[in-house]
Amino acid sequence: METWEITTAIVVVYCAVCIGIGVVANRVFRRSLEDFFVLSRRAGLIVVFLAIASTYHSAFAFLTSVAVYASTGISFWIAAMAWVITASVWGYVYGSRVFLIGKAKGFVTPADLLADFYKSEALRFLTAVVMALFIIAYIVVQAIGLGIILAIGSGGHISYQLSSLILMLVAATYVMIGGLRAAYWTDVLQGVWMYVGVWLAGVIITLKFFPHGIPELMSAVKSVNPKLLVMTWSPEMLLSCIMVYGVGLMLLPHLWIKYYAAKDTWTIKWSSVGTAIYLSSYYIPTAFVGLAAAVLNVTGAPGLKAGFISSLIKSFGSRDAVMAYMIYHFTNPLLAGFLLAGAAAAAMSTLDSFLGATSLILTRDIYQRIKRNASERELIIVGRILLLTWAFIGWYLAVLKPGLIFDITAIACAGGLQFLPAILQAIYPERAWLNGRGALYGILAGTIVTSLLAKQIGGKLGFPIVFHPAIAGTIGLAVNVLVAIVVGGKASINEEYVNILKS
Amino acid sequence: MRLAILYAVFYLLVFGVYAVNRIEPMIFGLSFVYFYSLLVWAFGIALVVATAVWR
Repeated sequence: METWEITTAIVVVYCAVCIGIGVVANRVFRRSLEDFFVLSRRAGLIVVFLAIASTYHSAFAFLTSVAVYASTGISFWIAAMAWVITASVWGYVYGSRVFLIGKAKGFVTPADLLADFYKSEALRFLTAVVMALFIIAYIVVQAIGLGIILAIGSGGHISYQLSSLILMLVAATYVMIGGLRAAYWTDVLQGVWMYVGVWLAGVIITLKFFPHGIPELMSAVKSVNPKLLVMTWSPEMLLSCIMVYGVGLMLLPHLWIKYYAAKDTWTIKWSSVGTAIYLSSYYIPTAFVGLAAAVLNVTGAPGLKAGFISSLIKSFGSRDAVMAYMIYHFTNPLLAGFLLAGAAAAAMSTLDSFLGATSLILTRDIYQRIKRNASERELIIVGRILLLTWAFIGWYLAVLKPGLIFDITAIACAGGLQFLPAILQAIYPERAWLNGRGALYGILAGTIVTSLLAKQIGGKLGFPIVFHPAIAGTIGLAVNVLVAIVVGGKASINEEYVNILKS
Repeated sequence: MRLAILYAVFYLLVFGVYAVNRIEPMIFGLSFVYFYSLLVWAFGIALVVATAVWR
């Protein structure tokens, strides 16, 4: 068998296992919306920890972290270790409170909580629409990653477009069959697979080119481009990344509903500890590969032409393909198949949750409000159709090769960040400072400002001042808070929520 | 309260990278600021564990 046949076969086996898990999940499915989306609130520590960790890390962690290390060096590590620790702690703080409220009131979606707390159906609608729209950016990111992984893994025999479509459909299939239960279960498999895969890839590729290890690698980086060994990001970029990836990402619905699914706060607490260690240590081996790629891009190596990153940018529209390219060309075929399947796991573990979460919020927060007498069976069917629709939208936009995964992900997380003021008031109800009107207009203003200032959106609309989406999101948050307070006016304490959280 | 103080220290240390943003002296083959960031990371992880134990 040729190399590409072996690697492709292993990725196919991995996909078959995921679909098999979807079928098994379907058999234990209790035919209720609550079970379909939040596992009847019975997920234990291992499931919650690996589901949150593997969902948080996606094609972003496996592919773009290497690409960003290769171009900006350790700046990525400094920011990333700070934002994942922030994400873990913030996940614990808000996740525990969201869990308690969700369990007491039977909530399934983020909009359930916000609409109930602020007694505003307009806020429910806005939350669902904003989340569903910003999620598209995240789905696009996974579609790009999957396209890169299989296109490279198949040695170019399967096109980027078709690779992306095939793997997107695999993820959509097992979520449609088994609901978010399938996503949670596959997350456990994927979380282990991608972690083992990234460490193996990091160690093997580094030692192949730098047999004396890290000191040799660092010395080579120093001689080729010493700037890669110091912090080159501005303080505002560092702050914005912590806000957007540490706080905003956790407020997106795919992670939010995982806190609803937990069985108790103890589970959430200790899953946060596991998450902090898992997420941050994941970026250590990707640093090795990224820095090695930066050196090899200048010096070249046997079987690797100097300037190879430029040719990858030409083929895939960004440098995100560096990791997959190095795995395919510099590990043996069996291992390459295992590692690329690990890369696919990283993307699919996030994609499945996003597809499930999108179909959930569109079904429950919009369709169910329009057609109030819809049966649970009808809602599940509609949910599946919406899931497929969002998958196709994401795939179509990915085909256009919109740019670096790092930047596109920031758009989605910047959208999530706009819910911070509203959720803070809901989970800390003892002091009233924000009312429904303020929350509504704040989210609206923050979202519009973020979109206009983000280079990838505002830039295309011809807006004169644009920033990296992370910075745009942070500015959007500042405007959001200002508008929320000024427009909102007087707020009153929600005694019911105070009592739920006290008890 | 002690956790709030420790988290404030953590973020001060994170933004403290700009004060130690240099390559030399290299420690264990790592640039000085990279080594410093690894120490801050270890402190951050310890802090998350402490949060779980204390709360």
